[in-house]
Amino acid sequence: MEVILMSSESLAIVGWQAVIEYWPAFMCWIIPMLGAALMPVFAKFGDKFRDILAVVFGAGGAVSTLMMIPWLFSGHTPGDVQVTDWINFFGHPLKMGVLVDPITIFVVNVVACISFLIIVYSTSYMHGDEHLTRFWFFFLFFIGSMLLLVVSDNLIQTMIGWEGVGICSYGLIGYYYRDAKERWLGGPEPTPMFPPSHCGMKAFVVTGIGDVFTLGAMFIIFKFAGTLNYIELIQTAPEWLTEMSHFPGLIAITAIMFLGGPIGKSAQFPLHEWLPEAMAGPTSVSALIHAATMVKAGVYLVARMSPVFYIGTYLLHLPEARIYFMAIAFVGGFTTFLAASQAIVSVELKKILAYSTVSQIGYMMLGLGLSGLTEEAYIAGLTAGIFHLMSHALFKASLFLGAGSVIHGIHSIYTFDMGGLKKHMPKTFWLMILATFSLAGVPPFSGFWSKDAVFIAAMIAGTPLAYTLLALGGISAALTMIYSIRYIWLTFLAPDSQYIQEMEHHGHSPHEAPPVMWGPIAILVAIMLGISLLGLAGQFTEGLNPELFIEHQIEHAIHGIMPHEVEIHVPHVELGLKAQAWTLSAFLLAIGIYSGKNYYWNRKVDEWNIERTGWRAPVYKFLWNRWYMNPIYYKVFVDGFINTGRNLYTNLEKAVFDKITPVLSSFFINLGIGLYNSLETMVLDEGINKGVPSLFTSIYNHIKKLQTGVLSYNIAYMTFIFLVLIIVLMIFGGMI
Amino acid sequence: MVGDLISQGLQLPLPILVSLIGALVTPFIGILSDRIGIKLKDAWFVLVSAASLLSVYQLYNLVKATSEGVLLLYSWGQTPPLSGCFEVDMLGVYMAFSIAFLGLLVSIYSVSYMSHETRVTEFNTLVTFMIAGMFGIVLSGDLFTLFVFWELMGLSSYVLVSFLKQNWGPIEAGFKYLLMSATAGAFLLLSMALLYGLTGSLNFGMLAASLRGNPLTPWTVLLFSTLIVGFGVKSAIVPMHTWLPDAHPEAPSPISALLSGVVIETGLYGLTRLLFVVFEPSVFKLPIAALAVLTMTVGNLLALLQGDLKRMLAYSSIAQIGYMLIGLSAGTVFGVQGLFLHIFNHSMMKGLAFLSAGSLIHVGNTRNIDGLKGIGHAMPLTTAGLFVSFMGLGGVPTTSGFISKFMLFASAIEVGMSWLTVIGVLNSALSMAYYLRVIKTLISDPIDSMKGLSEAPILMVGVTVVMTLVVIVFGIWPEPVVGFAESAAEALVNGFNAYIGAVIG
Repeated sequence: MEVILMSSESLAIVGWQAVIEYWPAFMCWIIPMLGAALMPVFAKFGDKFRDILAVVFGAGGAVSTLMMIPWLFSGHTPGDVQVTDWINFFGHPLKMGVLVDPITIFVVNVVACISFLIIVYSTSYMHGDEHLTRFWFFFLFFIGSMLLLVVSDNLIQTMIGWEGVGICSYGLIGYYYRDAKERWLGGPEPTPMFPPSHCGMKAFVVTGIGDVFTLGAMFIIFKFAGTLNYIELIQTAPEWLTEMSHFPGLIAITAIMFLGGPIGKSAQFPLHEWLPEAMAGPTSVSALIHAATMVKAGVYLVARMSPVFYIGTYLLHLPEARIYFMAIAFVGGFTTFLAASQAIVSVELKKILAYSTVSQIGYMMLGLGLSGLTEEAYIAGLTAGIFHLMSHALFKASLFLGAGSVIHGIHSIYTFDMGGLKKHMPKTFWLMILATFSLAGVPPFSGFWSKDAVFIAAMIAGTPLAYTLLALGGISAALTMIYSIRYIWLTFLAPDSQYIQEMEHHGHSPHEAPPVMWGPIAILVAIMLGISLLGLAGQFTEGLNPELFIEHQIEHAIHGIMPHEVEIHVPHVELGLKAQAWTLSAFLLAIGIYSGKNYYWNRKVDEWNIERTGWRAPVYKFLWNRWYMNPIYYKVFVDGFINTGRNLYTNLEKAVFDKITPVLSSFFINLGIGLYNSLETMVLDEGINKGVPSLFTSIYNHIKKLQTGVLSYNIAYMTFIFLVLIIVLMIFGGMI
Repeated sequence: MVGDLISQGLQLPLPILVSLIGALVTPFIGILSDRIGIKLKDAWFVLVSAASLLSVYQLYNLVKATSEGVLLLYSWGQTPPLSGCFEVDMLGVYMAFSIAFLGLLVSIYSVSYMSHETRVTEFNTLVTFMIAGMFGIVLSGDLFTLFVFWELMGLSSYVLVSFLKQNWGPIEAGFKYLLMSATAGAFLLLSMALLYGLTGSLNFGMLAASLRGNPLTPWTVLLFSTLIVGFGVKSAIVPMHTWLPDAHPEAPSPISALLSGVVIETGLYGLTRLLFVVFEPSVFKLPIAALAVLTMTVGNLLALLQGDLKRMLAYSSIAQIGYMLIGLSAGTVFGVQGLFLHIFNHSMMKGLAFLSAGSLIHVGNTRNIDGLKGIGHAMPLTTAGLFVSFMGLGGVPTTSGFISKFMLFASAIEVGMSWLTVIGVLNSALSMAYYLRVIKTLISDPIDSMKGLSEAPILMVGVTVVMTLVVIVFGIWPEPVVGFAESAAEALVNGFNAYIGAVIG
């Protein structure tokens, strides 16, 4: 292995040999992408073969990432494996490569392993769908892109994966693109309903807005740093940030623009409105993309770039760099509350979970934001963000898959069509209950430990902003408990709804999901329980604490990639602080349980009217209309653009262009016909479509004649090549 | 004479000793086995193969323990430069390991495959002799010793190709193989004469010390051409490949696996060793690149429309030799590492392809691809093995074939021959066409004659399953075998001083 030292402590490892050594880091995204590319081919061999191959390629990705885990203990990290010069960017060569450090390894394992389980689940959930080839294509391509995004060592490659997941998300949300009426999302009347294709488009456009800002920020950064490689950016940050600081306000603008993409992708305020509609896709897609993986991409990118702004804030003492952390902390804290409040009134099971996802990602963003508020909070904040990312991925994927089983069982997405399903689907019920405990932060479930880490990080930071956001996060924790009780009650415990009664009346009582579906959920829940127990044991034996493990690994990673002169503080969390956080959590839980139980559990009246009477009516209306954000967005952007377009149409198109068009169009039509006759028919059809295959056939027929049975010819060939070699070498050697 | 040998210390490398003695004892075991009616000969056959593999491991430890990485054995008669000798370095051990590993798997397979044949004892003896010959080639330290074992391997393989002598096809194929190899042998002898005339020795170390780095002369040009033809026939470099598409399909399937899996690669080993002994890589870079292009293109094109499954595999072997030549033409440690890694991987993949094809033919009773239509439903495990081997041969990621092909292609880029990589990649793409065609035929709806069949005997299926796992495991976790191949390539490209030093002292 060849190690080239660029600066005193460069981590770049170059050369093909290194590629072989870090093989799994490449395989993990190549395998799923290849599987995606081959899906149309496999489909030719039959549906069953194709589905099995999809599982196999998913497993390939998961195995590759599992093989990266030993690197955590073997000194392979952090390693930046650069393959080869890739793009020459204004004189700065950009290398293609992968960055392997503990943060990467944590995230890829979450992504690949959960993806694999969801693929297994999908083989049953999507069984019989006639467009599964397209489904698997997007699904596998999504996994490959997501892993590429996480392992890449520079921003350009990350952006390629980033847009790849965006496109797959678009394709999978709009999977039922024929917009059959039963696939529409929204309602019930008079709330408008949206077709899946519209929802896919919305997701793509809203996240795209964020991406444009991030791209802009990337170009500004590149202008000053001359590189987009993460390690080089961090190592040279003291120089280029100093240069940037000569332009007042530039660092702040860059920081906020850079956050655009993560905010959009992770569905944070103000770009959060796409995620609830993204539930139009198949449920397994919601579980994978909109709960466990893609929405975490933003969290990952914020964490990945945080060292740069940390250096700016605490080594160079540039107050503008701190904006990065303050902005994301504020966005995260506010979104947590915003989304949790909307989850309380939503009537679609998946949408409740979607709001909940937005809210939980808010906690992660809050943790990452808190990390930069003071020097002491850095490692604690990063740890909280990453730990909550991992535990959330586990319980939210289980919840979505459970919701999928429910929807699969009764063929309705609305909670008012459910009720009393506990007796029909006991396995799903118990698995979802356990995952919900984790979501609501009931001790000692993993969600409790990871949410607690965020609270503790806020207490370590200790600034007024941190305490304000802690209060907001705390209220949201209580709200989380309330909506958790609500959906569990409505789905499983409430009296049978009219819909269920009708189903039973027709003799189709709801059925439990098959083992292929509840098996993956059980595995996810089991892993979640394992982490929960480790968290509990970790309070007595430090070696077992998952949070401390992540903290050590992240500290190791940050130490490895930061320039020497930066000091990293590892907080020592005292028992008193922990006790404060626990007391706070317990208090909030108690409020949540008390109000949730009183409000939903004990009232045996019609759920759908109590919320709309008395003093609750305006609150309900406000929340139901999503704080009026969605309607305003539609009014301003969608309708606004449409109106502008209509005006342009009448004034410009009708008035001016229509006069010119007939002349031009007839010219182009004639040109087209001419080209079709000459080029398409003669060259493409005759030449390429028929010519290429027959070319190979005729080459084959010619070469075949060489393969004669006459022995003397064969020996003549030998003599022939012997003479040719002699003559050629003599000529090249200058002898004749 | 034996006394002389012992008094001077008989130092035959253990793998050769084990397989030679094993081969000599086999006929007696065969007679005994027939008398008492126990399957003693099968057990003995597998035992000898397993013992060879173990002795290769012992040799590996011996070489690893030396400080220079070279082990000099068996100096008989004169001092080393003039005598025959064995000079074992990591490369030799690596090749011996590839041979012994495939040899063991094939021997287990053929116990079941040959069970209904009458001349099993002869078969076992010949196979063991052939393997002994290959061990000798890869471990020998001079051209004379190499030639002796070369002919031992050759003679046993001619007979094995014609083993099913009741048909005309095998006889013709074996005869063609014999005559073409004999002609090639003449060229090889000519090159030996030239080398001896130029340097007064046939020892690799002496040759390297006196010839390497000198400018080309008409004599060395002649030498180069004789070497290419002399070794090229056995390793099936186009246009000297014409015997292979006859010989490999006509041989019994275990023999096809050995021939395609290691015998032609042993020829390639001889060529690589000699070229590195006599020339600098810069000399042979372009001619070898040209031969690589010719070999892979012709191999792939001819495989394209074959109707005979085994014949298609034979052409595919020619194409694979073409890929390997890319690494030789690059001439760097990385390229040669790719070459030898591909030799091992190809021995597993092509061995697997021939053995699983053998099982299909054994059950389906025809070699015609269309005649086997739908047999995959009856034999899922074997067909899956064939599928994996095809994926590996086509270079699909997650199979070991991808890793080595990737290294071969990357090595060409590294030395500035991107055009060679482009041609290689195009060839790979073309090759998928005929691989997928076979699989599609095998798993589509069965024709009448393919209904009601069942999976091959347990031993045959077991061997193919093991090899399938090897192909996949080394595709996902290539590090051990990559490291082994790297030390082999290091020994060849950078270990010359140690190699020469071991002889001259």
